[in-house]
Amino acid sequence: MAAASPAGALGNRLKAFRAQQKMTQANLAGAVGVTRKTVNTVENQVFIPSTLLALKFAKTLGVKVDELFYLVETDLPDD
Amino acid sequence: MIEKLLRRRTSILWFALIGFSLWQGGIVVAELHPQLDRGSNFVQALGTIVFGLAMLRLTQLSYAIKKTSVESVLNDELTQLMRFKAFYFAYYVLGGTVGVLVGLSPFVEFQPAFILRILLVTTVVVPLASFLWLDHKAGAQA
Repeated sequence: MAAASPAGALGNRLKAFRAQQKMTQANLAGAVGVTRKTVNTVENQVFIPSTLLALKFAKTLGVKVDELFYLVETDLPDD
Repeated sequence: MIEKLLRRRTSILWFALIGFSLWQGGIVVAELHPQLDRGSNFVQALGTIVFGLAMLRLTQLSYAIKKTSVESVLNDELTQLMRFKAFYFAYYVLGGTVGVLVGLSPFVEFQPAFILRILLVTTVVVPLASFLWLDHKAGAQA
């Protein structure tokens, strides 16, 4: 019997896309309207942003939300 | 500019925390140890001034940024979450404090004013300290 856990973690490629656009955390924060600490905690997966903020990040970086954020499956192994 | 305002807000909150702790802590110490009255009077006066100035600066800062784009940045999602967590934690600490006071009440005779002061200190100090700790932790992730 599969014992899949409904829990998952939200991964992101914010740092990579930000670097690709040659933006600093402060630049991105200014463009999106949050503090640098917010960008920093999102990049470090300490803070999960709202849908609105995720969309703003994606729009600013010129990527789709599902390219920027992805679900990290944390299924338990089968018995 | 945002970083400067954030630093200013953090320092104001630190001063508020220290000032309030000195002010009310001085009163609690004076109630527990009346022989230290003179020293605690000085600490209370110092704390009152520091806390009063911190509140004044916080009000000035709030008015200065009101209805500007900076206001929403300083009150962004992370800040709102940290504030929520700080109050959430303080709620449990306050509950624990009440529990301890109730548990001790058959053995220790508390004055109502003393209990109210302990609850006031807990209500103000714990969320402030928690917020500052969470803010520090968020900054330390860099």
